Amino acid sequence: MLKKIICVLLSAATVSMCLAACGQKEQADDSGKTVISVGGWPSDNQPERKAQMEGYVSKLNEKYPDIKIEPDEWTYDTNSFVPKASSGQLPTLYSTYLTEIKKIINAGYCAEITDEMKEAGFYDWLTPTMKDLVEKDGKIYGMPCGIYVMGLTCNTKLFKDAGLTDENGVPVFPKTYEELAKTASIIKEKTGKAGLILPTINNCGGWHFMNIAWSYGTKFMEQDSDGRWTATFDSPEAIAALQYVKDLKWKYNVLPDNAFVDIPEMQKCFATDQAAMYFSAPVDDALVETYSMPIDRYSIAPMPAGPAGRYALTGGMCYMFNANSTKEQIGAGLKWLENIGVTPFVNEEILKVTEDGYRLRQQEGKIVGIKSVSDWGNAESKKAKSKLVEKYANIDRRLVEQYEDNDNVTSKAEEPMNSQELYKILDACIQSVLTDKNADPAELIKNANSDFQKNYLDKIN
Amino acid sequence: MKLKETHKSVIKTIKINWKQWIIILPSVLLFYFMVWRPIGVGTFLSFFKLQNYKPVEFTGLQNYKDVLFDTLFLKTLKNTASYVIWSLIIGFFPPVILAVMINEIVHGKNFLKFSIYLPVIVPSIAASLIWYFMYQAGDGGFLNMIIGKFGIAPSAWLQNQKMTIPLIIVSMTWRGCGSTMIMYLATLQGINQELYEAVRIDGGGLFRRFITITLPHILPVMLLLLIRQIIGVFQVMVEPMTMTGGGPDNASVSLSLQIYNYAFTYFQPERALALGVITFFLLIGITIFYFMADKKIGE
Repeated sequence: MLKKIICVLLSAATVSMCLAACGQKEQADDSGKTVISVGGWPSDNQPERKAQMEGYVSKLNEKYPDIKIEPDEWTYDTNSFVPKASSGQLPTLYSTYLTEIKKIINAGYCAEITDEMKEAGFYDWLTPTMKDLVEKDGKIYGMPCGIYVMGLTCNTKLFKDAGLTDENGVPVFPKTYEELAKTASIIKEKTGKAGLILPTINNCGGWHFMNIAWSYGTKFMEQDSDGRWTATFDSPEAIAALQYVKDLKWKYNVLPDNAFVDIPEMQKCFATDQAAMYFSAPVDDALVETYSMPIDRYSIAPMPAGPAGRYALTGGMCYMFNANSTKEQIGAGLKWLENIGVTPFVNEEILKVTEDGYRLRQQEGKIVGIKSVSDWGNAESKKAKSKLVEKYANIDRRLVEQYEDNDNVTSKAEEPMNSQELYKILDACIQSVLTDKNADPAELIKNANSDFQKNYLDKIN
Repeated sequence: MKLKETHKSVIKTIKINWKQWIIILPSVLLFYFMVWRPIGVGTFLSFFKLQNYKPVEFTGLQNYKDVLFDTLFLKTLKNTASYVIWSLIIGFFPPVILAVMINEIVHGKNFLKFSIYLPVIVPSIAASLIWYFMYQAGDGGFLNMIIGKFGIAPSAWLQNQKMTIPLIIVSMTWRGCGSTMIMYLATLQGINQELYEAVRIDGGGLFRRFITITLPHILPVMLLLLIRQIIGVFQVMVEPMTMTGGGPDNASVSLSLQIYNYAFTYFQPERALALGVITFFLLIGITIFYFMADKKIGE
């Protein structure tokens, strides 16, 4: 009997060990090379991009023969991230959206990379805004890239149909939120299409609302000298911002009939000429890739100004490392990033990589022609990359120049605590004012502030 | 000593029926890995602070407190109950009526069966998207275009907070009705036809046949499917997630959608597990009630 029990226990242990082994990615191969798996690898139906990446691998191996790159086609998405992260199946190096970073850091699904960032010389180039995004307790957890400042994307066709373009065909962009409402009204009146579209669900409503709320002077939270956080947005400024959103629907009637709008719905409406304006990152590839929008309908302006100024959310991507990564793997990963042009520095090789990127985008019919407004990188790097943008531009650059100037725009990172939960709460406020004509913004903001304090901030205090 | 005897008797039972045990072994393993173990581990982990799904600190009932005192919890629970009630009002009787109708008709039976069953094979996300487009507000919405032909003003449909849950239930009924109807039909077809003949000879019509023969025969199945429907609808997630994202103003957020949000949107698996355990016990309560009711009816 005892023998049988031992047999059963040994079998169970063997199975458990096998399963546990499945949960660990290879860190070094037999020859002692540092192995890193890289997420977001192009699939077989993107042959040009795949060939480009394979070229980068060869280039890296010429310089660093002790690094082995393993392609992994997984790209970040909320449904598969947690299962992959908790089972140790994330690629060594993966990219995610800036909005996800804090959650990932707090959940412990990424490795700390402060020393390696310093060794690679990247650390000193992180701007305070970037540090706010990737830092916790003085430690760095990610390498931001493709940083952008949100802008007001405008459909040139609808502007033209509404008679809102100048002699060069450039839209007359609204400069303030008041002008935005008026411009949207004219478009609605002249074309019958929605003048503006705002997202309202999946936390995106709250996320985009930040732009308006900050511009109206809203302060969402503050920390006292004891380190306690207090929600502070039960204020006339936040109420005025929500009232503005309500007016867009019930006073100006410039929003679409559908009040359940996520990002794809917003992109679809814009790309198919059903909506004239929306807040977004510069160059939304889905417009062309998914909805086949002609690229000459694209233009972008800086965010409008509110009573308290011109504020725009900072967005972008961030490279992070699997929590189980070794120091060697992190070092190798940063070398790989430099190899593909994700670096604040510039040299001939890096410029060649950047140029290849623009050329490929142009060949694929994607929009090229907007210079980065991010302050990442040295002046030399920015100047050289801007020249390449001009060289490969496939749109009329007059349509984007005002955005590039970004006159008086203050770019802001997300709120420091529980930003996703805050967005969810604000989503509900926005949905309420858009679906109920009698909704009271003051009451909604008061409840939202109280819920946010009680459900989240009190928990961390 | 007692434990030893129990072990001996278990082993003896297995030895006697070893072939049967081998046959059910795959199911037992599947149940263990897919149901029993996750329930056990999930319940255990719900009492801890987790890092990477590993317990790092015992927190007792803190996760439960966080979930229960969340200002959204009561609304979520109320919404979930509302889903169940509306599903019983809108969705419980159509399968019975359809099954009785199909059982009674002579021609086109197979075609009707197939037609009513067809939506079942549509994936729930696809079905939700179809209904999402039908329910679109404004003049361009499919249903609004139809009612517009009759001179009726466009409706806000899902955007009307009072209508959101009933409308989601309509879409769920459309999709789920077929499979329930098939179960009723199978029961109806198992009824001895001579009983119906006897009622006919006595001069009984359709209504009397239904009351005296059909209803008593399908009542136990109705009770079973009632509980199954309550349990199924209690876990509604895909439909509100696809059609409304839980809105407007959280009017359609359900317990399961909130569990999903905790786990995948906010990366707070502790809270997701605690709410999962609470939901589990609520469902256990309903199931016990079912067994008690079933026993009473049996008696």
